[in-house]
Amino acid sequence: MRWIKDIIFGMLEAWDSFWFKPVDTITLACFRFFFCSVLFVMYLIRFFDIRLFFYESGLMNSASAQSLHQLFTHKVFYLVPSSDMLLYLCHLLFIVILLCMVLGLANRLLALLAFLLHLVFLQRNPSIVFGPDVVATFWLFCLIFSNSNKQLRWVHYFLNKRKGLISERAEKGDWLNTVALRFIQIQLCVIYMFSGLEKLKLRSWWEDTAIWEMLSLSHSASLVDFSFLLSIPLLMGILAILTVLFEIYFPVLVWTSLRKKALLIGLCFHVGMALCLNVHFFSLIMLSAYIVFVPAGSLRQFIYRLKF
Amino acid sequence: MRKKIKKPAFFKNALFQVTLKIFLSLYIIYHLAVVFITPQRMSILYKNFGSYFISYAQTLFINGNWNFYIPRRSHYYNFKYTIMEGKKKMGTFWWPPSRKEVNRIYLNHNRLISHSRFFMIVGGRNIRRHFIPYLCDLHPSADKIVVKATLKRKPRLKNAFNSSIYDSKEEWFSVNSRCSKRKKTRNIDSSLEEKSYLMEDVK
Repeated sequence: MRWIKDIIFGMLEAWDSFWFKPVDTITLACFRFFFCSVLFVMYLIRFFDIRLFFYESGLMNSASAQSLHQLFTHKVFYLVPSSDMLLYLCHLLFIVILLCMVLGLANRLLALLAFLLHLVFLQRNPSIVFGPDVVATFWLFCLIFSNSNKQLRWVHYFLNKRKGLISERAEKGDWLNTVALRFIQIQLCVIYMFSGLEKLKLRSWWEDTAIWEMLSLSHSASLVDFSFLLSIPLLMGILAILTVLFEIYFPVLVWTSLRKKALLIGLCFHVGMALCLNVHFFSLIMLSAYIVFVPAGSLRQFIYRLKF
Repeated sequence: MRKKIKKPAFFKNALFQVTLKIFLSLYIIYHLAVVFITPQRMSILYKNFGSYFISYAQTLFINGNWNFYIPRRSHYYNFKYTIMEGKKKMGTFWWPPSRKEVNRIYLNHNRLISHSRFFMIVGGRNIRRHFIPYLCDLHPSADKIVVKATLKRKPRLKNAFNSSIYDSKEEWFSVNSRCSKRKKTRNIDSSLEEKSYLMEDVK
């Protein structure tokens, strides 16, 4: 029986180390800064069209939004205020909180408020929700757990430059901080894994014609005419194979000594997507999660090199 | 002498902390189950346990099947709608209007593309109930609006090699609805109302 006890204790040890061992807060602080900056710009742009997207006079009135919410969701609370003025104030508050998060002024409570406000606007008009909004929801949720505002506090830094932007020594976070970090890492792997496996179900990815189909999608079509690719079909074949291989193997490679290479390939993959498919914000939001895979020491070195 | 088994770090904290860790661990296990089970809606696990997970998953938007960029055929979803006043056709328009015509930042225009894709997916009844009323307010003189869902497609790769025809348009389904002559309820965004994105005038 001793060996069973050994195995169980070993597993508990590994579980404890993976989920609860305190990690340097710099990792989630860098993630918070990058991700919230992208989100701030994205929702500031959305704010310009708030009337069209969210007002009663816009694309979807509140009765329609509520009806569609009930139709497509299962016992999910509905948070949306009915008045246009309240929605305007909520959006303004949301943008201000995002800015606070960028600057490192927001604590867990404000992160929770940002998450709830984000949900308000996704529920208010589900028809305009797209990829970046979906991925951002979970990243925002994870920030509720983190105490990342202990580092990269820009306001404190500008008020007192002697303190520096980050602490000199590694500052360990609490358990919840580690849980947040692991959730983001796992979710990124899950997204790639399912995306890769879903691709395998389709003939076009086996026939290497998927890249042609992809480049002809709606939002990319307006940007560049990819008909020149017809003269180099081999390139499309190679890209199709590389895309599937990357998505399926990333969740494995990123936990091994090949992590750096996997992240570098991922970076190229998303930059390529952003340029060819006109999905800049989606790529940026996905890339922001790469930060949680970078060792804290490297992030510290990078920030020191920038002389902050 | 028997070697003493080392107590795992999990239990090394105070009782309160151990209890907290146990609850957190249960939550983590629940979350992991949600993350791996809910995207597979056809699976036996989802069919059996999905009801315990779905509210949580839908709140966090983690129940998508993450099928980014797996086009069965490349589509550009559009609605082509015709405004009728009595029996007279007053004009035919595209939704979403092109970006140049409505002068929107590309990100917000992408949201309009998402809007049309959303209504393509949710289908005719929802178009009649939730989309056509907006179009009626956009064109206050309309008595009736006929909406045709169209797919603008690129040819398949093997056809593209041999063809000079680059785009093809297909009508998918059609929905029509009368505009109720109630008092106008919305003050439509002027940038959409005033800019003309008329596709073709009725001769």
